[in-house]
Amino acid sequence: MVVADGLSKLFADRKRSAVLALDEVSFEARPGEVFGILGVNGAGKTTLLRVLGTLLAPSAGSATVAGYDIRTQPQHVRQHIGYLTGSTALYGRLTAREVLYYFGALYGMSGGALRRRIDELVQTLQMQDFIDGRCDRLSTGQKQRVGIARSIIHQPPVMFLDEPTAGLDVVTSRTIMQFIEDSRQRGHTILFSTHIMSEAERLCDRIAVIHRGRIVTIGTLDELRARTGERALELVFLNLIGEKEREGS
Amino acid sequence: MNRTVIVFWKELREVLRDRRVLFSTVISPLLITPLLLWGIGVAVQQRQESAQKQVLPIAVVAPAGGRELISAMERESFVVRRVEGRPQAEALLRNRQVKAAVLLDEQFDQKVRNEGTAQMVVLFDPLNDTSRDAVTRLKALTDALNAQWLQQRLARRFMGAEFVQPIAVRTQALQTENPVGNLILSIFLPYVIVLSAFFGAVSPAFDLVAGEKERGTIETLLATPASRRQIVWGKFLTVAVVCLIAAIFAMLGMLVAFALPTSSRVFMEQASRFSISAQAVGTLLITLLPLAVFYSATLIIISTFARNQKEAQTYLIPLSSLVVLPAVASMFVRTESAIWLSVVPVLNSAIIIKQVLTGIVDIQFVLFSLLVSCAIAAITLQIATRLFERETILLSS
Repeated sequence: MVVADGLSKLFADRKRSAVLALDEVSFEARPGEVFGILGVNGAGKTTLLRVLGTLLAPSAGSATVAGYDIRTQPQHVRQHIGYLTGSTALYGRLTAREVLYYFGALYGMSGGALRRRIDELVQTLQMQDFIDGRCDRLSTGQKQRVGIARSIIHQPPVMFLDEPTAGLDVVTSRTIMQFIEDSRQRGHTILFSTHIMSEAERLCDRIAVIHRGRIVTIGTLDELRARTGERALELVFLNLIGEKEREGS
Repeated sequence: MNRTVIVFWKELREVLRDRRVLFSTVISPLLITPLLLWGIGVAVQQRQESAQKQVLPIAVVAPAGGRELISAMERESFVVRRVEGRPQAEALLRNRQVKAAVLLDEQFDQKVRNEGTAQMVVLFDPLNDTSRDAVTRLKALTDALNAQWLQQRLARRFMGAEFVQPIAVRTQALQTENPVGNLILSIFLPYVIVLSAFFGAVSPAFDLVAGEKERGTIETLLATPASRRQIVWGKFLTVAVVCLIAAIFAMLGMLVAFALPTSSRVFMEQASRFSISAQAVGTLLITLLPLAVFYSATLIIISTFARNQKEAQTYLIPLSSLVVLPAVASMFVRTESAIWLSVVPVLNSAIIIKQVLTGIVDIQFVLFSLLVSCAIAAITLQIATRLFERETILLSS
């Protein structure tokens, strides 16, 4: 479960005036739900996930992740989230198995339990052929599978996926989509940020449209269609942010 | 296991697999430094030998005899070309047809015969090595002739050599725990150690923070339960260990180089006789600890501040002079240095190493230097930690 209540984030910028990256964002994402955060580049999607993941401190508002407060219990929050971005970068001079050991240890796992969990992930994500190969020799698809394994090694109840398919080919993207669907079936709460409409359409149970740091609207796909009178999500999205632009002007 | 230790072991494993680090910290000091010094030693030796044996043409202006002197010159591998006067001798020297020109007194033979002092002027080209060699050999030759002719003059008066030498001075070096070769080590080793420790740590320091930002792996690391303090301390410890490894291998490399007889001739004959006690090694390591902390924390600060490794390299250029200058200064300062030098970072550590190698340890200087180094190390580490804990580390990636 993720509950955000009036989250704001203000960045001090020397060149420009202060930038309000998040403006009183509130929502609730439930277990077993893929909660989509849909917005253009620079809308505030990444900042929102970074604030919820305690990588950045909020300027105002509050939030709980898996029942832990992001301000007062940041370490507990990070212990209960899996964080996956579109970057497939890993530690090039380590093997895939060593990467998984490293992150498992950072999440407090050790010994036989960690070994068994890695073996299980190797089976599930079909990494047998390259698990002991150095990461700098893996293909992009193989790296992304290691990245997924790294993010769920500690079996987190909440997943933060920040444009996880950005820059990936169709085959690798399918692996990610499958992974998201499997996580939903296991009852995880999934926050999925994207600007790709087809992915949001296929995966998200509810969608929050974010624009210039503000949540424009939240609802299921059908609710958003009904609200705008459009059928295709792309048109729904353009309609919603266009409305916001008009309000702003 | 503590998360700082987890980060440390992972980083150390990764760094030790980095060929650049292995080359700069282990292979270069252990192989390239001794080979380089050996090569220089061989070249110097050959140069000295050829300077002794080489047949050198010289011009001689001898208006009145000087036959005995000229014969001695010819016996010492000089090819003598007699010329009429100074202008001709100078012209030959300028055209490099001769390596030196000797101008003898107009009454040379007469003055020598009458037990007076005959004048001999040697013209040479100060920019020409062979010309300077010719001067050295001519001086040695005239010194030998002077001694021989003086002895003959004294003998004619039934006097011994004691007559012209009321005091005979002999110097005798005290037998100390540290052999004379340690003096040469004390000049070069502090310089090599303090520089190698710094430059050995540059590559891992920049790779571990700026490199991680550049590659995009830092976000997922910061999303783990490890606190930023734990992460930066794990990285800092790795850099400090590499820094110490670099210093130790630089020291070993220099010792190997000095143990090779050919290399030691570059400096002096006694250089091959040196020794370092276990106690001295212990003191060196204690001295290196705060220095390694200071270096590592400073490099982590740069690496954290920079957006990528290239930018970090740019910041490194002005900073390097703050390390290189004290390192170079350490070659010239006296072992028994003024106490105020103990507050100069890097230089104070180099002076302690110098003192340890020569056995002239000033306890007050050592303790004050270590105190200052520890304080500076603690401050830089605190700054590095604070900087890493700021949000900008993520935003600048």
